[in-house]
Amino acid sequence: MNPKLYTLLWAIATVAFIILSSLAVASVAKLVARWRGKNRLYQSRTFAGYFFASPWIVGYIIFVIGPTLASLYWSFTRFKLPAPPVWVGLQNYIQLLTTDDQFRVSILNSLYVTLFGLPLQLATALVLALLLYRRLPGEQVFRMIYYLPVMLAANSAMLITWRLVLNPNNGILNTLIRMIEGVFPFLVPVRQGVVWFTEITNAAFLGLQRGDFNLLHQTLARGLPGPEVMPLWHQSQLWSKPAIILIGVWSCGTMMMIYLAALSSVPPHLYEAALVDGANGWQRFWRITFPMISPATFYNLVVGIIATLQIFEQSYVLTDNGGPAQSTYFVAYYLWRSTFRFNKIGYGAAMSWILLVLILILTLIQFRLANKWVYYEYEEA
Amino acid sequence: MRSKVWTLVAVLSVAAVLLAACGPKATPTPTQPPAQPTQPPAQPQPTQPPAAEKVTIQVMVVDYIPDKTDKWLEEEVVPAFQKEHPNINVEFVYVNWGTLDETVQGYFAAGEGADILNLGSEYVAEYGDRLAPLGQYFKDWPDWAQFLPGTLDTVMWEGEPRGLPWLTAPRAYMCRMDILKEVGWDKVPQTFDEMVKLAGDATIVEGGALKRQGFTPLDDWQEYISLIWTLGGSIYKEDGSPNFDSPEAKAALQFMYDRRRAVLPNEQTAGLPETTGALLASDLVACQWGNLWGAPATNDPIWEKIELFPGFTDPDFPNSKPVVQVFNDWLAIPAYSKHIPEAVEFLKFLGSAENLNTYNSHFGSFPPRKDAWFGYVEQDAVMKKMGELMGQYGVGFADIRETAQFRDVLMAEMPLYFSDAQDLDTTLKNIQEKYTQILRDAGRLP
Amino acid sequence: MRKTGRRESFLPRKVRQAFSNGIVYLLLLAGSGFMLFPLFWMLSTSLKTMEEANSPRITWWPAEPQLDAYRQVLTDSRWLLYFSNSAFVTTLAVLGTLVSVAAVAYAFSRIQWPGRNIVFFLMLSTLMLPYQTTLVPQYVMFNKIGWVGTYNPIIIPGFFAGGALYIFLLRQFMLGLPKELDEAALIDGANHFQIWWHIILPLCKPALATIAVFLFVGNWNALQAPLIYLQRANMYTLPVVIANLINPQVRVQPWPLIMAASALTMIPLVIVFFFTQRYILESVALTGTKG
Repeated sequence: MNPKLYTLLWAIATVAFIILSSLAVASVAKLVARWRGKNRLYQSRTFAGYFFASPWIVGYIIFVIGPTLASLYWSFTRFKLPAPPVWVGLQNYIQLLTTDDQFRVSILNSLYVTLFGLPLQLATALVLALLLYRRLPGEQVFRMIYYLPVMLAANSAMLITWRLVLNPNNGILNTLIRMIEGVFPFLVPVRQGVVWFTEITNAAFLGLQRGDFNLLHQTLARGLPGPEVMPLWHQSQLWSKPAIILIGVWSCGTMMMIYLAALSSVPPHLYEAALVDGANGWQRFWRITFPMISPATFYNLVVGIIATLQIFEQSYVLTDNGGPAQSTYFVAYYLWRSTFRFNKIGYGAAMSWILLVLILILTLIQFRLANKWVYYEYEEA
Repeated sequence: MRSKVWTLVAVLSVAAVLLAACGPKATPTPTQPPAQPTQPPAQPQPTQPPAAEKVTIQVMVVDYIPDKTDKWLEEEVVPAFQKEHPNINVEFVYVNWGTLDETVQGYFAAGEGADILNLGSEYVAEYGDRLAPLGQYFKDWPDWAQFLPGTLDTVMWEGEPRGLPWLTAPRAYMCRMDILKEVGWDKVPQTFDEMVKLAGDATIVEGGALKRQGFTPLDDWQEYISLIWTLGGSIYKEDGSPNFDSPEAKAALQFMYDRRRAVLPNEQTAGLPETTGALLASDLVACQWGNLWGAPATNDPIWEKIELFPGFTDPDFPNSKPVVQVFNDWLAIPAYSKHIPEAVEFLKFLGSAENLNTYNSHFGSFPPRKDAWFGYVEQDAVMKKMGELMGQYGVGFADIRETAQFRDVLMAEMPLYFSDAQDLDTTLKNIQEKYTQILRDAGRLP
Repeated sequence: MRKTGRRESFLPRKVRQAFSNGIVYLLLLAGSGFMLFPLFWMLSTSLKTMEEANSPRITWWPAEPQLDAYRQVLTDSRWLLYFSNSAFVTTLAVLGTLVSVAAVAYAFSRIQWPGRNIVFFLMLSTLMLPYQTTLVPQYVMFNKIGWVGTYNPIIIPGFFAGGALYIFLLRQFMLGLPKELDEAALIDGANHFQIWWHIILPLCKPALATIAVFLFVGNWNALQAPLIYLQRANMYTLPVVIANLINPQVRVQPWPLIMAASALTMIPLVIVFFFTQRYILESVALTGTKG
């Protein structure tokens, strides 16, 4: 049968199933309400509420609860299809947390992008938002341009384009850098410094990751790179993560929009008061703007961490299987490979639970720290 | 609040029951966590005669040229086949290498899928125990003797054939002699040391970027294995454990490092630009290791300047002999198939000399049987030369255990050594330890 | 502390203003350049000849733009099939998800029912769940019911109001509509379905448009699920095909063709964005404000 027709028929069946199950759930809810002696109005509200919410409730049971419980169970098993899972207790977790180098490397790679990439993304988004907030003519066009990458970034077509753009030899980015430096020669030492800094930090990070600081020693010994050394992007293990961060910064439009909304909610009388007090622009930003938009920063941070810890497409498309030297082997990618390439489903499940716990911990820490720096208006009231 | 929670729990559980009851209509029992796969292990049924009723077999194909190979298969091969076997329908499923593993894993996980699978050269170690043993079907097939012994190694698992080879792509070394002359070389390198020297001589670095690369590729894990074999080594010891603590494994990796350093003076050198077309025709590369698919087309006049050679040796290793690594893609029949006899019939038909010749002519690869070496294989000088090299130096790229994980280990460790992040001994020690662990986890080692 | 708010300056205020605006414009333009240059490069490469794309010298814009690559893609029955596959998956998934999300958001915003807060909390908590946690068990589940190798697993789950964020977004929007609307309708004897369909949904058009666009983008770009569930080349969606165009072993990449196919893949996204950007930019801001 034509696969599209097949799915179309299933889609119709699914709609029927959803309506029927919603009716069933709602009727049961109503019955319970009546049994508890509630009035007619209460009963009808119960019926309507459960009827409308049922698509999600039913989906939650089928696609979230069931799979989550299955995954939890498998994480304690050795599960290689088509054989049934075999209970191994904590072995998967122990192996992941103690002996599996690849897992340690992939977790640290993910944390690297979170630690260095996210602040850069936030800063860029904030700067762009502040520029746009001037409300100059044409602002709408700029807003569109800055948001456009968000929609394109995840598509493999875009990532393949980045591969071409970032080619260290004749890619357009490095060519552009050389061109700009041709006009402003004083930028060459700046670039040398940036290259040096990036390579040192990445070599240091690789050293931490592997417990072997050989590469750092050599990079240090080489000293400031010559003017001919360009960023190598996805070709080098010292540049591949910065390349992925660059793409993240490129698609910071969502964060920018959220900052923009937060900026317009800062009450103007605060600025007026500050002006009267003689605060300069810099002081106004740090004393008023930044604290007032801290909820937006907080939101961007929480959402950003969850997103960066799940980076997958970049490893798959841009850097060809997480290379070079597994410098872009991220935890979501390792999970994928374990499950779908190595057929180690129990192991992959354990990994996904560690990832979940990691996200939970990081989010909890955020919420804990939030009291210290996030400013909520209602506290004042 | 508590009563509310209880209401919710009650409602949800009733809903779950209802769901399970009316589920099969729309989504069969989806609320059960599918923990225990229940499909019975499909056993081949060799004695069953070909069924009289019409059956359909599915063939999954990876290597195909769209609008060419698929047309040929569907419009020529299948009609011809059905003249002999009117009761067998053949359907094709085309996939590509990037998604092959996911697809095949899925088939085996489900216990159903295509009846014939197009697998890569090294796959028998991965899937061998889930493929149908076909010894009794091929026992009386006269054509079997025509297949090159090296290619048959690829399809054997526990003493039984699991399929039929259908594409043979050897990998050898090629050099552009005009570039070699320009840098003072009048013949291709004979030894490991000469290769290192030539790679350096033929390289041009300008402004921190490669303008010409003396040798490519510089970090291929498959070439590393080929080089170990060249030195007379093996990647497994007698007991099946990895052999990366051997002198051959060490010398081969050291050689790859030296050659890389000869090309890239340091790891801050930018590689070649992204190009279109075969590198060897682009003047950007002097020497290359690879198959003919990645090389210029064999009728390209550039071949007058290219010399094809099997490799080089190391005088320190008396057993060393050039190795032409041979990739044999093959067609396997999975054990879950319900139409094994029919699938075998189609394999035999597809495996005829004429069919293999036509199929391989699409890729510039070799038919895996000797009597199919006619037409383009004999007329084309490059093919002829490659064929001779393969006959003399060919070693099948087969029996690579837990390939996907092994590849990941090599791709993690080798570049670390190449970029001076870790030394040779640590690298080999890591490969040895990690690969041992992988083999142990997979139950291939005690 | 000075009394006057502003520093004294020898330049008149207007000139200073114009000067600082000029700098802001320069920065904005530089930012736009950064945002657009990958797209520019995609377009430029797709119009090049093989020789221009190959040359180690950089060609900013082809001397004679070629449409060959586009012609090649658009006349190739396989590419047309991939486009239609992507269009099919995206359309069906967006429709099913949008309607169900609208229903659930209605329940969370306009009806008082026992257990609402608990269910709402459960829904929000799924935002934290990594995609991969459920991906694998879902794969095994779909495998068991024979859906692997069909479009079902990448379309059907959405019908169950897939996407907590969208429910949340729409709920926020619906909370903002005046309560009197449905009260009046209820008194007139309308039922909830009628209120939802005839009164609330028409008022939610901007939010629905935004969510439709987000869903469109998500489904059009999806790589992971199609990669594992679609097992035949004739069912692949565009991202799966494009992700596999590059063969690192061979380095024989027809870049103009790849870029033309990529550009054609991007075009629906750009068009959709262009026509709905006003709604989207407003609603993105809405997600960030606390609810």
